[in-house]
Amino acid sequence: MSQVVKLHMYQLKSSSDPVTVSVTIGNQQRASTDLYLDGVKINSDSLVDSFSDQEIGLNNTLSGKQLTINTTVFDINTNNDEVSYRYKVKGGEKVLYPASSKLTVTEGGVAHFFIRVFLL
Amino acid sequence: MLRLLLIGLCLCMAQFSFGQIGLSPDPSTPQLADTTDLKLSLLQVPSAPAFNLLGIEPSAISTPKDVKNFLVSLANASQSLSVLPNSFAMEIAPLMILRRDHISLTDYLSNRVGENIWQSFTISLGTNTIDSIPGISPATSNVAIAAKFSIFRGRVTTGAIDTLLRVDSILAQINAGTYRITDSLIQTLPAYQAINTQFEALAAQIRLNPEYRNTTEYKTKTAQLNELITAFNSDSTYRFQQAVNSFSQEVNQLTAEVNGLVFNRVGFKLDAAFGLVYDFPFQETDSAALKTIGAWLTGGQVIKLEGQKQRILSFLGSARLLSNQDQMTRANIGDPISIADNTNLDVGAKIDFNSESSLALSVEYLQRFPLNNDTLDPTYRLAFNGSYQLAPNYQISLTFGRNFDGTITEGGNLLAALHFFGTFGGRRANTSLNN
Repeated sequence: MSQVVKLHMYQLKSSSDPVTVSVTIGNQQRASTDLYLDGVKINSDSLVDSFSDQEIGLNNTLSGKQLTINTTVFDINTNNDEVSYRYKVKGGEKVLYPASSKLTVTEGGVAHFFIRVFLL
Repeated sequence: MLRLLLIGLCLCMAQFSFGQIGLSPDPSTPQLADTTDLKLSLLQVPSAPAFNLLGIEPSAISTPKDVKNFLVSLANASQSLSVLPNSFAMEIAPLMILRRDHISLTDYLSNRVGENIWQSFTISLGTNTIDSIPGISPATSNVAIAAKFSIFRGRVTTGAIDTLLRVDSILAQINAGTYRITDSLIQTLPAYQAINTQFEALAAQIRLNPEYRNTTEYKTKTAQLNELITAFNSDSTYRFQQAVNSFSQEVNQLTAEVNGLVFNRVGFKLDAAFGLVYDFPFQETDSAALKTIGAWLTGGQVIKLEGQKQRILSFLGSARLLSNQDQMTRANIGDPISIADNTNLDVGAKIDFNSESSLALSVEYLQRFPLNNDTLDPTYRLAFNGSYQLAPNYQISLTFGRNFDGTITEGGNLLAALHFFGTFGGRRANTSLNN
């Protein structure tokens, strides 16, 4: 199966500090990521490969919203068919930083990651 | 001079070898450094400096891709670290092994110095054993360790970048589609609906009273919500392969775009390497002695020539410091041979042309300056290399020129070699991530 669906709850702070998202794509594969808040895409251009600390809003404006990190990874590296994917949400009460998801895809195939974070 | 060239061409060694590249002498035979070691190109940092320092071209090099394979290779070669291996060759990229999961394609293709050094950093380890010569020398093990890295790798050609931009465009379309499908499918799941309802209730309470976060009820309900989420995440049936399968046509487009894609680099390049060799006479650790120490620095400009076909022109400069301990030396023919420590600095330049139409030409010049031995005169090496790919798996190459004077002979050995390389098997067209 080349799809990962994960849900998380993320507790915010009572402050105006920014909340950010980072994604790490390993194994020299190509990836495209879009960030959605309540179904609305918030990045104008798709984010390519890994990125760090992409701001999605402030703590006191995000409560009750659903953040989705949606990534498709293309197996462009002919040395292996492995896909490594890790995401991080920070700025709230704690840092959400689960372990890497690792998938093996068919040669030249794609893997899809759908991460939904309930912001409280 | 013309006569010399003709004689050299007549005497040239023709070798027809299948799947074997290299002209190194038999490693089991004692050799005089730099006089008999015929390399096609000295003006590049060697791909594995440890083997270069040992003067060997091992047919099998262990290249472990993870920590487990590295330990297994080492244990097998050394009988669980109990003996020094007789013949062993390993090349590892430790940081690529440990941090492969962190290297995105963008990082891999970048030309930032930090990325360049740690991604290209490789360590080569090699051992070989020279048999004893009765009455002259004992059986000796040589152990070499060396490292190399790129400081600048050049930038990826615009053609490859254009291909990546087309890949990104298709990938963005697929990504938008996978989101739409997965989002609509997930909403139909009762388990998801339960989570969503619980979340909406909590969010509504917080909107009414932000202090609700501090209540016991909030903590209880968020714990319940977390339990529902944990149960959802652990259920592997909540996967929607159709979200990916719906885009098989676009995935085929991606595959077609990258078929044959090669990430060639152009611009300024700078590579460095260093290493050393220890001798173990009688194969005993107590008698270990430093034999050779060397360092390379090669840099230059790589230019992609305009035109439909890919043609690469390189101007490279190189400096190599090589120190040989206890080397047989004599100042002039007829003088007695003495043992001396010789340190040489080689400085040179190379022009290299590579064409997609399978032609490769290069000319290189190296000047050698003995640094610590006044009895040796500066000497030079001049070599011309040409090769032509006759068919995808067949190549003919010619090397011609003059090698350095040796430490016990003078006159500059003639460099002449005609090679025909052939390999079995078909050509595989795919993406290459080679630098």
